[in-house]
Amino acid sequence: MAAITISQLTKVFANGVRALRDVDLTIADGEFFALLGPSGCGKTTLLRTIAGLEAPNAGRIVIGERDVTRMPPGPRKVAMVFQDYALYPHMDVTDNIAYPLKIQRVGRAARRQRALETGSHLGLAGMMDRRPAQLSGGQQQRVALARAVASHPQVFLFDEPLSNLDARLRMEARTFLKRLHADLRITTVYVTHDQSEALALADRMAVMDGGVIRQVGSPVEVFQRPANLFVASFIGSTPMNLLDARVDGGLVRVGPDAASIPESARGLVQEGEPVVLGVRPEYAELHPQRVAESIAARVVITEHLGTAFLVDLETAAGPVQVVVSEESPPDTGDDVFVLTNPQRSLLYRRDTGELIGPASSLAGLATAAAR
Amino acid sequence: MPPGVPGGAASAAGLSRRWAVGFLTPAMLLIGVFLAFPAIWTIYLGLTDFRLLGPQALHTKFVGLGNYQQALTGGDFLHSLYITVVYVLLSAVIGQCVFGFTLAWVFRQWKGPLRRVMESLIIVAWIVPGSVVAFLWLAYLQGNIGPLTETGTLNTILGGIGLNWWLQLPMLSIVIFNIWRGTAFSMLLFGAAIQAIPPSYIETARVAGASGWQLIRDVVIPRSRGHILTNLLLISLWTFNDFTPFLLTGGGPGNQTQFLPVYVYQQAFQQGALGYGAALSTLVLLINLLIALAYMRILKERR
Ligand SMILES: Nc1ncnc2c1ncn2[C@@H]1O[C@H](COP(=O)(O)OP(=O)(O)OP(=O)(O)O)[C@@H](O)[C@H]1O
Ligand SMILES: [Mg+2]
Repeated sequence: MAAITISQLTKVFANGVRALRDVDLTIADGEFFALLGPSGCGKTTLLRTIAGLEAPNAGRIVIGERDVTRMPPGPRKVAMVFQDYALYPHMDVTDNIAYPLKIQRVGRAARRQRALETGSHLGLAGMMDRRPAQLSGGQQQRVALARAVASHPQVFLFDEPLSNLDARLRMEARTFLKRLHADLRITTVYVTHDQSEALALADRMAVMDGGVIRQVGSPVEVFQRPANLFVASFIGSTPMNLLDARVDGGLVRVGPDAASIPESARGLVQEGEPVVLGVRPEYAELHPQRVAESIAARVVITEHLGTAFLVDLETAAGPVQVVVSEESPPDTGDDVFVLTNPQRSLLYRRDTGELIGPASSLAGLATAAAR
Repeated sequence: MPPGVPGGAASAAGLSRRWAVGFLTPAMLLIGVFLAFPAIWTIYLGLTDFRLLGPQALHTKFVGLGNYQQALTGGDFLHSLYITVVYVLLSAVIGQCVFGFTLAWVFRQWKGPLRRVMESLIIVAWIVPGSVVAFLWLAYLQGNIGPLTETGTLNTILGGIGLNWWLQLPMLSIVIFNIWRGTAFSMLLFGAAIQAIPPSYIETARVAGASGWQLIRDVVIPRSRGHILTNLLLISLWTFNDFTPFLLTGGGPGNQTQFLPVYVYQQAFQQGALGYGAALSTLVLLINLLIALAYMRILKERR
């Protein structure tokens, strides 16, 4: 087990693509760390560079006490699970799981024993002499995990290991991974572009964009207080409403209307400053009459989300989405008023796109202190 | 039965049997005339003492298995068979296969023009006609063939050690020649096999700490088994039946490079013993068949 310290890491591919730009990141010992970001942002490249499969152009990687920047993959003592699992079709489950042990020169009997133990732990006991082709996708995924676990690495590196599973199996595997991590407490770096996965599994996470880390924090912090407009628009099952606004006394003006200024930004903005108001669809309310400072809107369409409705609205400042409870869906064409919650809404500077106010919410600070 | 095809059974393509037979007949006739008939004729000739010239040319006698007895008890055929097997093992199975694999593995990581130039050169050695490369190699290793090659180009390069390669090291020279000439095929085939291995297989082994050799042993070779066996089958048969050595050494010195095809040619056409030559050809055919069957057997075995 080991912490990972990455400093000033830069990777430029031969074709000129800058996949990583000055990445600084510290992952604590035993932490489950998720890397999240849109396609092509460099998540896989970062993971492969930690594994030693790509050589960085600049920067340092330290695993535990050792500087591994120029080390080949083997002695780094990491285990990687690929998206396609990379199980060897010419070996049975036992040999697949035991393969890293064979390379580590563990004796045949000992490694078969360890493969069986790990395999049984992951629910593979009955299929140890099958070939990968005779396993279901979920079982193959567990064999790949077992192979990683059995090699007793210092670090697990997972590259979207659940993306080949159907929705149901993915939920099961998620729980499974969480339990496995609770048992083993091995430092884990987990790449995904499914944010619900990151939110569910990770102790902390990083959001990447264009080879740069845009925010690092606990899932709660990142979800509640996205540090900049990119993260704000990326995180959340329904995207955050981002409305151009201007500071006006104790309010922010949004078009002809106004909303109360988010609490965390109070006292940190200047009169007349151009800002962006961020409101999650879950944290706004719809009212049939104007109440306090609210934004006039007209209902364009309502979508059923299962336990709630997502209402698409048109306002003078642009489209807005609001989630309302099952009981009170408005009708298309209704005139309504959007009331934002000043404890939950956020304010960003329009020029830099950075969040105004403390980086972590009180809730985030509380969990960080407890850790 | 599809409508509109009157009478008889019809295939999936909607052809009646009569049409199918009609389409097949020309091909069957050609195969019969140019393949089956000569083969049967050769087997028949092999049972006679037919000669190109002399009394036996007119009064050919049936000698039963006499020719075969002569081949299998006299030393010449067995000697030829022995050196042919050595030649196949050294130049094809070991030389071309190992060398071709090594090149394919090394070139895998190369990019850009250098690789294309190297590959093209190697492929040229393979596609140029045998008689042409044979001439080139004669000039390269032995003098008296062109104005500039008094002692052979290689000897000139090596600084006049005065070795007569074809006379003093005939087997080695031919083995090297055949490796040089045939490696391209193995290289291309293995190159394709290596390309087809998912990169994550190789990377998983590297992350586990596998060395280059372990990687080849545990991942690349098992994943290329089919390619390797097919390649071995083809190059074994090609080398076994290769006639180019005759162009280089004429089977000599003595009978040191008298490989089977050369021996058959010399017996049948230089000595004129057509009956004996036919028997030898039949034996070569059988050996080819055995090699092919052996490989197919291994190929079918599921591992
Ligand atoms: N071997 C390579 N050679 C050149 N460019 C590459 C190579 N691998 C990746 N890239 C480029 O580097 C950038 C980052 O790629 P990377 O695979 O890390 O993205 P990712 O975040 O994992 O995306 P995804 O979510 O789609 O897997 C992309 O622009 C990609 O095109
Ligand atoms: Mg990726």
